[in-house]
Amino acid sequence: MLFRSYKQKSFLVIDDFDNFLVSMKQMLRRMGAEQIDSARNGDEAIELCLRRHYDIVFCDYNMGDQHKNGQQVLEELRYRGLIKHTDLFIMVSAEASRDMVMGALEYQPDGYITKPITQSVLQARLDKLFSQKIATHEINRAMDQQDYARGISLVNTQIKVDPKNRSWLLNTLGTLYILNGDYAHAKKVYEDVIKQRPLDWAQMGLGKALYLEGNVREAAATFSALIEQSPHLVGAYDWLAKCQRETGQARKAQETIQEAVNISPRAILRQQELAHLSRQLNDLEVAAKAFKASTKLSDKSCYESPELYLDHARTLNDLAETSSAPKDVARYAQDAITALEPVKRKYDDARVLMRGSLAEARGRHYQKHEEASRNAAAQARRLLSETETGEEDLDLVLEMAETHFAIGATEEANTLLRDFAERFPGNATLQTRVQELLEEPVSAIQRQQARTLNREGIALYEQEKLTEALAQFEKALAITPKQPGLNLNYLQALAKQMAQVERPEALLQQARETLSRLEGLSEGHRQYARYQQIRKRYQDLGL
Amino acid sequence: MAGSDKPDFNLILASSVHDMKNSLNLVLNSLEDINREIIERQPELAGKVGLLQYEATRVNNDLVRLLTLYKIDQELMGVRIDEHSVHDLLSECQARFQPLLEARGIRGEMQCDPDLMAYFDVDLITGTLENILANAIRYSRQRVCLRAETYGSGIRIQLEDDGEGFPPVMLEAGDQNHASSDFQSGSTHLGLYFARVVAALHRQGARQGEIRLSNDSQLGGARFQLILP
Repeated sequence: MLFRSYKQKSFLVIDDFDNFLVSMKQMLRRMGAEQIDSARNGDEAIELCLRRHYDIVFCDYNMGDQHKNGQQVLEELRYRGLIKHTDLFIMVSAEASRDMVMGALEYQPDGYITKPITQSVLQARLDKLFSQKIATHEINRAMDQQDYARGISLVNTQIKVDPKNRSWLLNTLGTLYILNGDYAHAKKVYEDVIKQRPLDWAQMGLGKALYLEGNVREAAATFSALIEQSPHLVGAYDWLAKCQRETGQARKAQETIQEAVNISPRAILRQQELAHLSRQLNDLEVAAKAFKASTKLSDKSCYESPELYLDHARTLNDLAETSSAPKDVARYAQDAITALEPVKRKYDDARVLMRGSLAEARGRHYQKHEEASRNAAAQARRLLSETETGEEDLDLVLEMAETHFAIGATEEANTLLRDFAERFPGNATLQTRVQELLEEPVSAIQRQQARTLNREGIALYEQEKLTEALAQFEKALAITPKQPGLNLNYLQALAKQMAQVERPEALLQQARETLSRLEGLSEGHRQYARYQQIRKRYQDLGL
Repeated sequence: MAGSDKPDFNLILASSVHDMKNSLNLVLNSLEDINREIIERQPELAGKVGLLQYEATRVNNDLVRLLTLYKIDQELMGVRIDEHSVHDLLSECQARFQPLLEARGIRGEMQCDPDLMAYFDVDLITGTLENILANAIRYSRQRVCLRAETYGSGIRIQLEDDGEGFPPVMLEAGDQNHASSDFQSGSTHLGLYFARVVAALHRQGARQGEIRLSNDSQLGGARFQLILP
């Protein structure tokens, strides 16, 4: 009996069902507990935890769609350091939510208990989990203090005398080795376990260790095999996607994350990852959907950030810009304006507000509310002029100029860029990027489309598919006709094509026009040497 | 709800069960309280409260079973195998049934090496044992015995009672992989079907778990065996 221990501990019970709170308190009191607080949802619980520390927390998993679920509460408490390794967090669940509980990303509860909970069940489960905590107290303390070396030596001693906790101890040992940067020993621990049984956590750990030591391909194979064995283990998908992204398979990574999101849609970080990956891939529909889900889930959580709201709005603006049906344009623009609403309400940082105003200017422009659009843009410029800026604000200034170009305020955009460039004459990167935008005043999304086409053209060129390559370059040139690198690629492909056809006259005409677009290229431009080379080649052809 | 929207049965099921379990939680807790008082004040009524407790537990087990089978069928269920103490598993199961055992005046025995460890999905196996235990308590006279030991590279868990034993039709259906139903007696044998499905989800190499039914109990009644590789 642990009656006396419970007497000195503080308890927190979180559940949206009043009767459950009452009966839990009653049962805990019978077991010796005296300090018991309760909360009806996650936010209330976090408030309480900010005020005082709790040793033992019982948290219901499902507290309604409008509130954080148990997993989110756990993440929030761990993330904010409000609950330590030495404390006990027990997830209370109906059987129905078992698989959702398994969706845990990084943070795992110490144990589960299933409703209905009676006195005898509670006693047995709590006694067991609490005894485990006592048995592993020193190890958990070492983890809280981030003294991993001590943790490792403690586990190694205890494992010889504590067979009941063997699984937990080995799992913890692997984790400790990883935290300590000793991936070789971590791998050894996991491989030894796997030799006995291919347990999920051991394969997961092995994959992580492989990834961290830089063996990304082998790590990916390990995670793929694990997913095959346990298709519901969402954490494995996250890691597999990480590996795929790192080996340049962004499209595959997106598919993997999408699968994980389908299994467990309420994990915030996973939705955010899907959103960012999809945006990079220019898969705007998927990105917008994932941003919407992430902003909703992140509300009042540790994962909330102004960038999330802004990226959501930017993605919707990009969709409005690239849609052809007026109905779609209007809908996306309206969604963008709505998505920005929390930015103004929640933040007062000047740079955040500037970016918010810029996104608003774009949205209003697509809504054809030109006056509101110009007002928002003016608001952003006003904030910029009131703020002390430096070289590190390059991206902000570029975004501001791009937005002005997009809404037709060309003069303001040019002024912004020239003024900014003049302040930092010695910064070559800054000068180049400002120059590029001045040369090619198109929006970021258009530039990205042109870049994708250009890349496709290069790939086709390398496969000797010259006609197809030329077609991609031409499409890109229709968007960004002045881009020097793109023009040079086009010329290079043309030259090669000319050598292979009987009548190169039509191609010569194309080359002539292209060369004339490059005439103003300054000697300082990083493509200048290449330009010289290609021009020489055409001179030899008589151009 | 818009007319074209098809209801998501999984969601409806999950949220209904969530609701029902909250209510059951209340019912079972109240019954536990009442039972505690009744035994002191009017012990002659304890049997009736015990019956209520038993039926409420049965409803709960049915819900869990139903949902688990649905999830296995829809391939929504992941098996989570880890190393666990068998002794802890058995004592928690018994603890869950302690009030009922007491109310019915049945002695629950347990034989297990405190250091016995095995690999299994603790939720699924707990659910299985609870179903079987609830049945055994219903049909036993004075004693049930829960026992576990090493069996090959895995373990064997046995539950024996001193009741009438399994009816012949159940023994015959013992190795069939479907739920044979006997609606007249009110029993669908879903519990055994569930046990068989859960056992088979436990695999180690080429071997998989199984259940065995017989009437050669040391206590004179039914003998249930769960073998995990």
